[in-house]
Amino acid sequence: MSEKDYQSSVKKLRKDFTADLLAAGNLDDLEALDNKYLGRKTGLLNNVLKTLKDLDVEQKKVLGPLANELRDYMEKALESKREELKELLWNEQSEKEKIDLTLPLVKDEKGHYHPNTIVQREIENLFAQMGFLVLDGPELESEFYNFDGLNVPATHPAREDQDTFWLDNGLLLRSQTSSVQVRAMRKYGAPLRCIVPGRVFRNENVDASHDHTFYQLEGMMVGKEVSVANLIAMMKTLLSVVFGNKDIKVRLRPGYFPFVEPGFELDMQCTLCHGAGCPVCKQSGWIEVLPCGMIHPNVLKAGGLNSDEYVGFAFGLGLTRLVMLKYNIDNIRLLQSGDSRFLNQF
Amino acid sequence: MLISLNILKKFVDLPEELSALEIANLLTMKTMEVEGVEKLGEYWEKIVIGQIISVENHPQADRLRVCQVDVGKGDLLNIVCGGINLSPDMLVAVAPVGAKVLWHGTEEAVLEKTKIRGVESEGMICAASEIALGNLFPSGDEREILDLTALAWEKGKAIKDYLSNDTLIEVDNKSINHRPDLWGHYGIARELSAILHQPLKFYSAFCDMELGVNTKDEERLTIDRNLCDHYLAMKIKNVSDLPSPLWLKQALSDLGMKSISALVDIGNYVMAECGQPLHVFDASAVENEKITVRAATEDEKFIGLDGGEYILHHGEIVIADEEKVLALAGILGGADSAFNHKTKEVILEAAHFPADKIRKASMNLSLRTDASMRYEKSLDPVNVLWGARRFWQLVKEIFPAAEVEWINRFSSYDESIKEIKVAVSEFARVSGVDLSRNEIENILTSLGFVVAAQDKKHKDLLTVSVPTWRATKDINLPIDLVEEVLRIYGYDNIALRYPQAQLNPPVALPFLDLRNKILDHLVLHHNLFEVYNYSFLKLDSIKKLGIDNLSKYIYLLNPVDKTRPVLRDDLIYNLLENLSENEKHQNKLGFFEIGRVFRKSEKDIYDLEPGSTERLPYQHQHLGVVLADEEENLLHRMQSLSESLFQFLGKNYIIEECETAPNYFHSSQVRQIVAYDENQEKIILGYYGLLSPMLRDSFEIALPAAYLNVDLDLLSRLEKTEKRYQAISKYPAIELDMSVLIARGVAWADLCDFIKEKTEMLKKIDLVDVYRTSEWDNDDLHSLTLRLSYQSDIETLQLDQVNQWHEEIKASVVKHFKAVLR
Repeated sequence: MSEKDYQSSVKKLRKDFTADLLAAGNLDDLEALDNKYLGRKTGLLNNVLKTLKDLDVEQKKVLGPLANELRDYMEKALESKREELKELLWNEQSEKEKIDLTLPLVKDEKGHYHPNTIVQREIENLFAQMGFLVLDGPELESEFYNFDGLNVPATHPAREDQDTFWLDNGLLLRSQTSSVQVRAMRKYGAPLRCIVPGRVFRNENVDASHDHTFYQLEGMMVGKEVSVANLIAMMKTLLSVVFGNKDIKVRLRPGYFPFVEPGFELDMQCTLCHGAGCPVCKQSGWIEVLPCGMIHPNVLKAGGLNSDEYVGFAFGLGLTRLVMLKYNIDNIRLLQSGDSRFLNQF
Repeated sequence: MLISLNILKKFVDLPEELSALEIANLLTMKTMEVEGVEKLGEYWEKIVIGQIISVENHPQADRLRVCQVDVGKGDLLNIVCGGINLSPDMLVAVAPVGAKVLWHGTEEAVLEKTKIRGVESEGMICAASEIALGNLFPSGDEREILDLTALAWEKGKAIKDYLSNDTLIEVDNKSINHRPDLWGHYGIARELSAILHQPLKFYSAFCDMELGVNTKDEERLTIDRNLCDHYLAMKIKNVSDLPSPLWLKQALSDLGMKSISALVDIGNYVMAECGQPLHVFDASAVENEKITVRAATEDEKFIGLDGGEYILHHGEIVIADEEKVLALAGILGGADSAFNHKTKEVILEAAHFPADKIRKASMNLSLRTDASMRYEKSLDPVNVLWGARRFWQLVKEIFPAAEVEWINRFSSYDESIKEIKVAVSEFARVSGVDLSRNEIENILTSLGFVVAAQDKKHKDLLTVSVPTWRATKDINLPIDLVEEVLRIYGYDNIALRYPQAQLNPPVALPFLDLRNKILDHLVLHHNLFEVYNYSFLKLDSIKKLGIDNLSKYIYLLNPVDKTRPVLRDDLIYNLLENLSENEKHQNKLGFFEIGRVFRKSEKDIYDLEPGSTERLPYQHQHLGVVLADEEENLLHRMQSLSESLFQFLGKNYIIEECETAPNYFHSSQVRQIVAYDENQEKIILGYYGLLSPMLRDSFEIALPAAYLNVDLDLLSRLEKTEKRYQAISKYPAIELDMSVLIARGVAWADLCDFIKEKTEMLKKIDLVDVYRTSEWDNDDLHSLTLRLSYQSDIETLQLDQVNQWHEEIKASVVKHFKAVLR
């Protein structure tokens, strides 16, 4: 075969290949194409290469590279087309296998914690991280621990029928978690820091924001050096964690309770109006959240501690109220209702 | 309680630039809680004095008149009015168009030019209540318009020029229960003088200091010193029933009090000023002008000046003469001895009674008055003298001819001054702020405390004398003085600081760990809902459980809800109510509750008092779980839940049949969970089972239901068991199945025990299938397919050998249990 013939057959091969490649519609076609042109024994390129044998060395030097060049071209083109077709295939498949994920095929029946439990545990964790014990005490309590030991005088209105639930043998249902203060001091001595979350009972008329059964979270810290400055720091920390606001604004003002002296009311800036004034905060811009104070010397004494040596602070968080504020619950009775339509929201 | 800023200003100068709101805020931050501030005059802004020129009948309405009114602006106003006392020349209060009024005393409206029954009306001639003057000018008839003629106010002038421009501060009474000195304006003025560093005027400047109130004369008085420790009676003659001057009427009206008669009003006004309740008797009604203070006799009758008839049973303190009761001491004057329009001579009473006795009497009779509210707070007995002096000063001004005829006084109260010693260092210790001796002294002095000169030997000590008005209630201990100084210093000025604390070794809290694990396991693993129920039980629920004997329950003396008078001794009652209620919107239910239950018959670990051997009643924490579902294997599901829970908690337990289970269970479908304590004593931890159909019926629960109950206090005291790793065998297991038709009465556990004994190589027996069909003749049979797993720890087992064992086992099962292979 002459040089010219050789060159033209290479050209023709290239042209045919390109046309066939264009026509290849799927991977199988491509496979066939591969075999047709590049097949080791019977490929068309191979046939052309065989004809090289008949040429002399000088011609081979010139024409050989032509064939190699064609081979490279074919291989690359095939590879590129292969990739292209593969991608097309993936996309087709993806389209076909598209699933409607909004279809609720998997029934997920979750359990639920009571919202009070959620907030209570969050606060327990916070205080446990700071080395506070988490304690509890009896709900059916004695007059001593609920009143006398807390410096509440015998004539105090809180002891009346209209506030406290009494039994005929002089026992009562605890009206505040402070009843555990003296028990805790006697059991663990000082220094002591603890919180006491628990159920308390008040003989009150029930309405959307008052119930006879609710939850408080008591806290106390007793040591050789504990001050009002410390109390403010701890209370701010507590509120900022519960409401997720590091810059929460608080204010401390006089309050009076028999078991603390000085006694305070700690207010926090209204979460709804941010201090501007609204019905929730009765236009004042502040919400009353934490009665607290320095533990009265008589209470320390009842706890078996020397008030000259030890000093401490105590606070009584209205846990139920906090839970209602946090989750925007407008009726306190829902919390003890056992209604699954309420419970499944948390 | 309402506080008038004008009255306060008499006693202390309030800086001009300080608004009423800022003052209220300072009081809230340093003294007591202020609930609101009200500037008076909202309804007087546009009201003017007018003179009626003419009154004509309304052409279209019998009850209406058309008036021509001169308000000093030249043109007369044409006003339609329904008043019944209209007449020409009358001075009236005119509300022009644009003025705000209160229709019929209640409904706020802004006046517009309007036609009333066809006649144009350019404003309104007002009744007192329509411009918030109902208290100041009380009238009998709603249709009476306010007649200002007698006051001779100038026509055309704004009415507000003649009325109060006061601002009222409303204080939350609960925040001053411990401060008897703040139940009068002077005490609050004293607070403000300390807060604002403004001088306080002496109360003596307002009193007749010549009055011989310190007299020791007491021949007209017979006082039981247990019931009264300071009593002053003063007879005043040449007085009469005159109306109070306008300033006094105004002041009382601002404070929400009604004006009655000058002499009575003065008493009320003085009480508002200095906090001392006073009472005025008609002298002619007091037999022989002799007064006794004693306890009421049994069933003694008394008619109060409120018209009420009271029968006294509890030895209430009464003021009496030889014949009758004159007044209920500290609470209410009597009708018979009250000041009336004929009175010419009076006896003033200024006295001090014990707080708790007045309180008890007030509660027993359901009678609360301004006087009794103050006495309850433990007033300063010395104030009796100030009340009398101030009263006489005002009487002199209003009744120039009045004379004091006699004064008698009984006094047995302790006149010694209370002294408290407090260390200067105590202030810093408590507050966390370094306060200097000077700062402390200044604040205490501004509040009326007297600080003695520094003791050279005890330089850190302050010796403080407590003023009498703070000595009766809340200032007793050194710490009380610390509070006084800190609150005036300002709690807001205390910078926060984190405490330093000693690290303590951790304390084991077994119940807490248990509770958290149970919560997580039941909610996250078993998808249950946590509920909270009340601790009180409905008698109805107890009945539904078929329990007759109510004496085992703990009763409340004063339940809030009479249908729930007892404490729960089990969680089940309320959980059943939960099921019944929620069945309405769900057909698959799972609830649990952790809470205390109360039992009369047992004791708990808590003592009644430190050192006492008596213990409080049982009130253990319990866990209660209810499941309700249509599914067949509900009881097995409950058992599986119980087992998984106990395993998760790491507690050893045994499930066994019970002899006496609570009656709410289906008697054959209940088991008890027990454990053994360190003394090998058996403890019953709880029960689980299906609830009886009758029970479900009474609670109206349609779904089958199961209940689990565990005593968590007992559980938390048991030791935990830790898992131990078992070596994993290197050698493969061979699993072979067998199916047997066997009597249902044969327990799975027994079958497995039997098979396991046959060879040590049997590591596991699984249940693959249970099959029953009605096609078989015998209903007592079922077919079990078991998968036996054979494995050795030391070598690979050969299939031939295993098959042999398997066949042997099958044969012995057939023989022993009279079963048939399938």
